[in-house]
Amino acid sequence: MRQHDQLIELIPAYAMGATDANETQAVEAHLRVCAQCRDLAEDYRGLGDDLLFAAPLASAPVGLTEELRKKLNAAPPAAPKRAGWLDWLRKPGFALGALALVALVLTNVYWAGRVGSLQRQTSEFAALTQADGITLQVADGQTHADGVIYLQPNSNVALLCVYALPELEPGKTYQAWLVEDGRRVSAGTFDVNADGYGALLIQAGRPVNEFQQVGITVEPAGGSPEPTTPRIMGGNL
Amino acid sequence: MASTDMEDGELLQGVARGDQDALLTLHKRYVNLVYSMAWRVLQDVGLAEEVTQDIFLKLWRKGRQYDPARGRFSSWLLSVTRFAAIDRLRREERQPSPANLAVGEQDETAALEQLLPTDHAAWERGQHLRLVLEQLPSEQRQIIELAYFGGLTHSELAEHLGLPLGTVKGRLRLGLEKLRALWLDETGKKHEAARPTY
Repeated sequence: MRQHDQLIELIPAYAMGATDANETQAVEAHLRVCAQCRDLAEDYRGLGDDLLFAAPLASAPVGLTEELRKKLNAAPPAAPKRAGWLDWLRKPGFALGALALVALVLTNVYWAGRVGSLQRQTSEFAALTQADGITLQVADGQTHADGVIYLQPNSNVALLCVYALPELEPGKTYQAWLVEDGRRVSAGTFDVNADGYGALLIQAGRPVNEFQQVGITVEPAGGSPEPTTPRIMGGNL
Repeated sequence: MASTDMEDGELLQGVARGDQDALLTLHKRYVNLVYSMAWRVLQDVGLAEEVTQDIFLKLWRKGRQYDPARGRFSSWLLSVTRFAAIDRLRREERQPSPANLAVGEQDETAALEQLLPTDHAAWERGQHLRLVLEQLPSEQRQIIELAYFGGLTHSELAEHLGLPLGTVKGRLRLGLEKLRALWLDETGKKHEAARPTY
C-alpha cells in the first residue's frame, strides 16, 4: 500500500513521459498489478492526447508542398514484398550484380536530378535579375532603409533585397511574409550585413504574384509562425 | 469522425501502394498541424520546416507503421511529430522554452478552414485545453510545458530550472492534477462524449 501511495503520485508525470528511467520502470511494474493506477494513467493519457492539439495553429512556410513533391520523386516508397524477386536476390551473384546496377542507376538519376535542379535554379535566378522590381514601402522609423522584391509573373520564385536596414541584436532576425486573404505565411528569415544589405530567395511553391502582399518584421531568432511585431517594410505584389 | 478517418485510411492505403497524390493530399490536410507542433517544440522556423518534411517523408517510406487500432491518424501523426521534434531539439542541443501559448494576432477561428481542412473537433478540444492551461499558476504552467513540449524528465527539469528534484516533482504533479481537474470541470461530459473510443 505504501508503494502504491508513492507510485500513484508519479502517474501524471509518467503519462506525459516526464518520469526518469528508474521511475518509469517502477510505475510500469506497478501498473501491471494495480487497476486503479491503470485507469488513472489512461485518464492522463487522454489529457496528453488533447495537449497534442494545444499548440497554436500556424501556417507552414510557403513552398513546402513543392519541396516535398521533389523529394518524393527522389525517394521511392518501400516496394511491396514480391516473393519472386526475393528468390532471385537470395542468389549471391545475382544480388551483387543487381545491387551494382541499382546503385549505378540511382547515382545517375540523382545527379541528373541535381543538374536539372541547378539548371532550373540558375535559369530562374537569371530571369529574376531581369525582372521588374517592386519597391517596398518603409514604415516610420526606418527612413534610410530601402527594399525591392523581384518577381516574374507566374513564377514560384522571387528575390527580396533590402538595403540600409539596421543589424539586429543577438536573438533577433528579420522574417519575410507573404500575405493572402489576410493570412500571413512565412517566406523565410534573413539577416543583414554591416552595411545593412540582406537578400532572401523566396521559393513559394506556387506563383508569388498570386499573393497580395509581402511584408518584413523583426522576430526572435529562428523566426515565428506568425508575425509578433509590426511590419517594418512591405508592399503590394 | 468516421468519414474523416476512413478517408485518411484510404489515403494511407494509397501511400502504401506508392501513390504520391495520396501523400500530397495528406500533406495538404495536416501540414499546418504538423508544422505547428514542430514549431511549438523547436521554436525555429527552419528546424520546424525540416522536421515537418521529414515526418511526411517517413510517412511515405514507412506509412504502414500507423496502426488504426491505436487511435485516430491525426493524433498518431502529432505524437510522432512531437517525439521527432524533441529528438531534434536534443540533437541541436537547444534549450526548450515555455513559449507563450496565447493566440497571436491572426484570427485562428477565421483561418481554421484554411489552415486545417479536417479534424476540427480534436483541434477545438486542444485549444480549449490551452485556455485551461493558461489558468494555472505560471510556475506550474511552465513546468508542464517544459515536460510536454520540451521532453524533459524530472531530473532534467530540476537541472534546467535549477530547482531541487523534490520541488520539481511536486510542482509538476500539482500542476497536472489541477489541469486535469479544470479540464474535467470545464469540459467534462461534453468532451467525454466527443472523445473517440480507442
